[in-house]
Amino acid sequence: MTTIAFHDGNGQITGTQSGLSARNLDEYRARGLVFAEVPPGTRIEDCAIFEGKMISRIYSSARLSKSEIAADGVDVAVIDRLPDPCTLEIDGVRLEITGGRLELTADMPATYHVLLDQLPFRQWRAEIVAK
Amino acid sequence: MKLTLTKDLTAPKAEAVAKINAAALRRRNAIVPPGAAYEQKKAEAVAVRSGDTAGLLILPAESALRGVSLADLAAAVLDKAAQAPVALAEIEIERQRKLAAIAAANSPAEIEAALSV
Repeated sequence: MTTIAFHDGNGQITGTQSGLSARNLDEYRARGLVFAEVPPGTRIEDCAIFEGKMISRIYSSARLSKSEIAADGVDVAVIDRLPDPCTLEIDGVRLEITGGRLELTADMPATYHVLLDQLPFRQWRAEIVAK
Repeated sequence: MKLTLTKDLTAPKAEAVAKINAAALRRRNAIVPPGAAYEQKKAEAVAVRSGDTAGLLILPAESALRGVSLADLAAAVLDKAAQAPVALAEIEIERQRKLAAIAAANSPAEIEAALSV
């Protein structure tokens, strides 16, 4: 049985389907579906699809200066070495970032989740706790 | 680029309010079960206490099923009914206290704390 991955026009994997037989795959191809076969043991989130093949995404050099800040609107955490430009998700909200650097302050105590999910880089996640 | 992190508390607050209301409803239903049976039983218990046992629909059957006398069952029903307003008031006051805390909450942690007030 085979697992396949579907992808968007950029090679970003948009979904997977498992437990497929060779006949299923032939049927999918006959219907014009575009997908790539996923080798066993593959971590989907670390891959993209290029020319119909699964390829490994490279590590981002993004880094977070500190994971805890005071929720005073003054204390700053810096994310730098970001791809320029890039799209970050902060608590699920997408933000276009230019300049490769983002300075973050907080005025509400909470935990904030940051995600960089941009090809060809592997997903990079950070958590900032504002106290 | 600079960004000030914050949270939209609208959804968490709505979720917390729903939890508070659901919990209060569960507690109220445990004291005053929804539907007509509760009121019917209370009316029948009043009738039993005044010596009028004609036309009873629930209590005779329930007393037989539970193996208690009709008088004892009627007394228990009335006793529970007498305690209900106080218990219901406590539930409502607690609900209002929690709702006020949710309304005043300015962070996710304060919402969590308000749920356990």
